[in-house]
Amino acid sequence: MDFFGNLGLGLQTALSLTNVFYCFVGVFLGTLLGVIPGIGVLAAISMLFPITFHMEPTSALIMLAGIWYGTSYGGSTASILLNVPGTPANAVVCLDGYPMAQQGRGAVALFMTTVASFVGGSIGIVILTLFAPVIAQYALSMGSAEYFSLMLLGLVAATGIADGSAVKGFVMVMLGIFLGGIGTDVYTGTQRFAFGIPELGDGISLVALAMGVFGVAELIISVGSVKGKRFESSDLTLRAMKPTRDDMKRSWRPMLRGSGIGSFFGALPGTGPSLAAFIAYAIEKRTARDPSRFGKGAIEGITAPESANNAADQTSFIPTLALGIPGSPTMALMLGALIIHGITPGPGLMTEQPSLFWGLVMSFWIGNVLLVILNVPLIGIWVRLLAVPYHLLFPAVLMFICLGTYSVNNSTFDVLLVMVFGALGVGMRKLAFPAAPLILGFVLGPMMEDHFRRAMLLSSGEFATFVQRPISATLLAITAALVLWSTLSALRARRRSTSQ
Amino acid sequence: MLNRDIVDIFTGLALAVFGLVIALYASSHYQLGTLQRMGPGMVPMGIGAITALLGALLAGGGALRPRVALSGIEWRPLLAILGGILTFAIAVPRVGLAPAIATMTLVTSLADRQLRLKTVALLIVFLVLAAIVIFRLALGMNIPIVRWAF
Amino acid sequence: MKNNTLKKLACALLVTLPAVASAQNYPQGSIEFIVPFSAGGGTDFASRVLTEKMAEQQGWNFVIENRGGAGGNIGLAQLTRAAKDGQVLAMGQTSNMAINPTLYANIPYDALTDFTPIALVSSQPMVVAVSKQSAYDDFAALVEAARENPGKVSMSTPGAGTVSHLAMEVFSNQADIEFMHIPYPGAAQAVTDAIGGHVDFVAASLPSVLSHLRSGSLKALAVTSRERNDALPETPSVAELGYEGFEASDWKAVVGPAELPEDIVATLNAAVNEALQDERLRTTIENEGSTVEGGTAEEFADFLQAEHARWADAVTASGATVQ
Repeated sequence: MDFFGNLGLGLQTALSLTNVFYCFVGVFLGTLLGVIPGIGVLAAISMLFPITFHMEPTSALIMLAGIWYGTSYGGSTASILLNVPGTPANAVVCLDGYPMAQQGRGAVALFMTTVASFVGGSIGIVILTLFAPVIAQYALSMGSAEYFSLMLLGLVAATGIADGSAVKGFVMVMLGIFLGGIGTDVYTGTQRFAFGIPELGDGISLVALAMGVFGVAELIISVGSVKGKRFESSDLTLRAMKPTRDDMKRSWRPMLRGSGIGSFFGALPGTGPSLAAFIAYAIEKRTARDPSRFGKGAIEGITAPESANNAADQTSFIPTLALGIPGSPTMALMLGALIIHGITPGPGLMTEQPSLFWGLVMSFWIGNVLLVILNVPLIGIWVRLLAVPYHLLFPAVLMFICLGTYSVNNSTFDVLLVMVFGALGVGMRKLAFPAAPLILGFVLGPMMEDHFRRAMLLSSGEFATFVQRPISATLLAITAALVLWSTLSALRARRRSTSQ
Repeated sequence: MLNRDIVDIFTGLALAVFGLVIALYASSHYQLGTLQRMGPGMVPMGIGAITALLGALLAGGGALRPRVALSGIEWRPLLAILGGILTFAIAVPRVGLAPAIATMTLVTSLADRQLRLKTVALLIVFLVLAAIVIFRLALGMNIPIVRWAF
Repeated sequence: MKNNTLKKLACALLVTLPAVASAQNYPQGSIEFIVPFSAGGGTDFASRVLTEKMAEQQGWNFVIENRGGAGGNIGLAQLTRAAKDGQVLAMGQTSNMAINPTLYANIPYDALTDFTPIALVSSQPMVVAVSKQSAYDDFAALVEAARENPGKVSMSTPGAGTVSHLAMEVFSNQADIEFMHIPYPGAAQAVTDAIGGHVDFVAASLPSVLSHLRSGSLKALAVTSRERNDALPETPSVAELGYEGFEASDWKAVVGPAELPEDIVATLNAAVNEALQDERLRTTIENEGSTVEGGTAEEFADFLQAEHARWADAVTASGATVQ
């Protein structure tokens, strides 16, 4: 069948009443899960998983997928309004989203993240539709050496993600790598820094870390400092949602760049939306004419990462659908929904099950449109949250953080971790240590270690493997160029400031 | 000495000690291996050493800078909120959702002096209902509302 | 059909409150079923399909509790603290009942005395597979290559101390060869790198490779079950290739706390076996690449003894430990 015939077939499948209904259920639950801090999409999808045994596989997948990309729409809401990230992938939106809300531009920020999410999602879908098989094959050729070089590039690109002292930023990256390394070593089974606590053997959960250093720390600081009415009621009207022409002008390029970065990282198994959002933010800040605007409510600081994580959500279906390789546990669950119905995921899926494959892809469009329809009117409701006195709001937010974290594994240990990281977060804020590099080190560190060790094992200890493999060599060359360029521009900036 | 940036000096020194402890612990408890064939101790040892170095840099920088004022910590919200999380963690597996939310809200409400007991009671009712509707009904999670398990 | 589906969806979303106890003495209210792994994995999947069928057939109500951590040890440890009335059960499996007791330096239970075996549910063999471009056409060629170049033929596994890794350790000892072990954090990445040709072959459970075998991106060289597997009738078992008695499988079984009354064990065993007879459940399990087991509680108890001893030897021989 030709390409347009496939699209038509897909649209027909996706537009059936049942499928639109399940798509709506999915994106609605996704938005809800995203707004609530702490609770993850994986937990929710596995709860709903048994229901899918009784559903048409296409409808089942449409619903589960809707939950998956729906969370990214809802996830930025709490980041912007409360400085508490809905999911780790939205943590970076706090940096500029919350200052915008404090300036009375919360509604604009919510509107622009919805637009950015839609743009990112759409670009992700286009890439998924047109290039899935090609990209999937390319992703397979990435071995551990390539992954290590890519992560190194990501880490170098993302230094300077936060303001203030560079030394403090590096300290936080190191602390992040240390925390990420706690737990069972993949290669030997050694329990690192677990001190006989069995729960630590599985490592620290990213959700507990993000909820602690961003969420709980924010609540503690704000309860002490926020007094009385925080916002003018005129900030809460629908008219306040309208972005200025300047907002739009500043945003469209970052949205496109963010979508590109997100699409790239999404398609690689093992990476994902969180990493994509952090890198997208870092790149905007690095390439900005005036990086000092970031962290104070720069619109690019919310639109780039939101486009990135939504694009990554969509392109993460590329390895899943085109190769049958799940890039994350959530994707593994979606493949499980297919396998239960006797459908084999893999390269044959497109040709053997065209109505399922194209129906699912087309449902992403419908889901994204539904999400915009659902989220734009909700903005009016969400911003009213800000009118709720803080002394009533913070116990509610804390309850959701605790219950959300607990529900993932019924583990009180994870809740206690949130408490510990909350205390750490307060200390960091008081001493001006940035939180974003901590999360970045936590995500990237263990992957870099893992891939470095594996690359060394596979090459029998030859460091040359990193430069002999063309993709890896290219990535390292870009990294070196970036380091050189930053050093030169830093030197130039210093010379200019001394000559004045 | 006291007119220098004493905060950076102390955090820097603390970090240096922390880094050294990690590096020493990693190198004495886990195999280091070689760069070609890394053991589980290599990365933590490196990270510890770099942290120690950065801590020393921070302390050194602080010694060159004049003193900056540090805003104090408000202990009341800190202890109330951390205490609230702790009571939740202790209560939820033993007595279930509703009592856990109630005790957590009571403890956290100590963070803010404006909160009166009547408001807190209403807030608890609202939060328990919200938790039941969202977590149990909408998301189908199996956390018992009330239980007795000691 | 559609209407029914909607109803079930509505039920699952809305009616999660504990059901009223049935007419019999057992069970009293809902049964807590501990899954000692995070939601979304193979054990979680098997537990959910099984309890759903049992609930449907017996009118019981199950509450699944995912309690992951430490290779499945934390969830099972929780079971040992439960009352001995059968209201709390768990899904044990090869790693936390047969391997970890020897692999972990500290384990908070004795797998043989702290639990009451109820019924074996399912099992899955390990598969040795290579990418479609691989030069190794059969298992003998792979073994021969490893014999000629000891420690040069690379093997990806889902991690150190997993069933896949230890099964291959046992095999290497028996065949007197050495592979280059490349552990991964989980089966997905181990399989991906085998498809991409970054390692020479992968050893992983059948469910984690089955779709790739069907789509042709991987070729199966051997399965570790004693007999061939129905899903792969063309693939020989390791045992039939001249390694007599070689067998390794990853099984799952329902267990209760120690000293469970005999009549409750009998009731539960009958309920599990009835569920396993269901055609739909069997296809669901078989589609995934697992084999439906079942059988009496005594049979499972004997099997557990044997497995415990066998894997203890394998772990000791491999030299692996988790401190």
